[in-house]
Amino acid sequence: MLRITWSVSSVCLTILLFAAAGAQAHPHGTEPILLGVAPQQDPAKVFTMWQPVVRYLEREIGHPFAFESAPSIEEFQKRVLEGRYDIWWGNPLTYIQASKRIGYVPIARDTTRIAGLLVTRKEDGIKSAKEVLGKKIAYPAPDALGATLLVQDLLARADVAPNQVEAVYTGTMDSALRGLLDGRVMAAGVVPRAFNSLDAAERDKLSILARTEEVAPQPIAVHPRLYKSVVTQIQRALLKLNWTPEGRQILASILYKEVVVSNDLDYDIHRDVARRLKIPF
Amino acid sequence: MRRLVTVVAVLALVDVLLALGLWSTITVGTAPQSDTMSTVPQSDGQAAPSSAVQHLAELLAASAFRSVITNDYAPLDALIKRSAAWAEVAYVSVEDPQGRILGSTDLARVGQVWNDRIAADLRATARAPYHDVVVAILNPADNSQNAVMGRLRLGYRVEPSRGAAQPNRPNTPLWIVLGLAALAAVPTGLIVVKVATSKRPATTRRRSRGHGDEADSAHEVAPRTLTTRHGSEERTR
Repeated sequence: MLRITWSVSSVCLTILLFAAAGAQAHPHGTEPILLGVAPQQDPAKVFTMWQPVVRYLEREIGHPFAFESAPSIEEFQKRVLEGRYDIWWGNPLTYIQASKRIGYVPIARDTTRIAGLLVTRKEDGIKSAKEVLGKKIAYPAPDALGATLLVQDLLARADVAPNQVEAVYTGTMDSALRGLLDGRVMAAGVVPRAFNSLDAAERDKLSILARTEEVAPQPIAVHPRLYKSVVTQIQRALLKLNWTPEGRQILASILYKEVVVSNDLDYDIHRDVARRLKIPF
Repeated sequence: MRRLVTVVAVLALVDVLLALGLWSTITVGTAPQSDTMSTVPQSDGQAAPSSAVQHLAELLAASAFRSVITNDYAPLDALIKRSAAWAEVAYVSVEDPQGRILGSTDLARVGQVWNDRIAADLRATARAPYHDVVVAILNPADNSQNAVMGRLRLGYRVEPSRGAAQPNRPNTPLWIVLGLAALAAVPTGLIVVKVATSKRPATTRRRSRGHGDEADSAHEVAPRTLTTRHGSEERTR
């Protein structure tokens, strides 16, 4: 009799322990899962863009999510490297640093890949990348992956190191193109979307000197402290966004075309770029 | 004795009816307006916080929004410090959705979870009574989203205004007024009965002395007698 009681008690205790563990998403218990989003635009705008995703994930996972951005890109990168976020979206170069230091893992990304264009004026008659040596080149920002880093990598492979040109950071791609059209710089680094948005007449005055290779865009990465079952749930929920009208609306709000599964191999090419540009990771 | 009781009862009823009428007149004339800030706890003896205070709290919450979503508390601390410099502000507290205090005029509270005890402590240490206004921290750029990113609490001191803090409304409960009115009937009844009984023997005596004309003359004399006596009393004083 005593043995039966003992066995029943053990089974009940085990069930209780498993149930308690199952109700939590991470070792912080019932604390919300913290989603960090890089402030590539104004934080209030980023908040607005990502709120549908946050609400959707809360519904799908059944666990509260908290949104957080940062006052600047640098501050966001610092927080990622401190392991603050359970899940985050941001620059791939930040990812290759964070994966090495913290162990973040990419689980999803947009299907659209990133490429950069090196654009010059037709009237200047520049025929090769080597000809911009020592000249002024306009870039939107130092950490812009497609428009700056990939273009700088392309130039580096053409034996034009980043310190052999005068980089001018204009804040936006439109300003970089404007500076080129006005003749204030010899070339500009932009992405295809910005170039195609120019008026046809203005576009005709420019020529694409080089197009970089395409690389994977910003990852959605998770901290290793998140339980694997929860990570799988989040990944499935993100993929489900492709299949419903509501989901496609949510994707449109974060300017995604389609969510695809991502893994660390997607970012090996970024590691090569970082090595060539001597960016530590 | 029975007469006394009857008189007192009738007088009590009249007094109560008069008091009730007076009460109704005053109360209807100063009926309170609908409470537009029902969520705001009221402090005793103070006017209700105006909508301007509510708007001030909303403005502070809108300013706090960016700090809350970016986890950037230096601007939030600056905002709270500037607000606390105003004499009318008793305290400001900003919380996350779980109630954890992110910024406060009392720095010792930061990190704690807001509860009734903190509210009571703040009230106990305040130099003057104040109103609490609580507003949600929402995205000021997009009202269509109802995501609450936290709460802002504002303790605001409002000087009692003559118009609002001391209205004409009677403060004494109705039952006390009616009770006093009924009680007042007892001494009044006693006086009435005493006056009535003191008049009765004189009348009876005069009536017993003569008939018809005598009685009439007695009626005519009586007031003079009373006047004379009353006048002599006045003179003796």
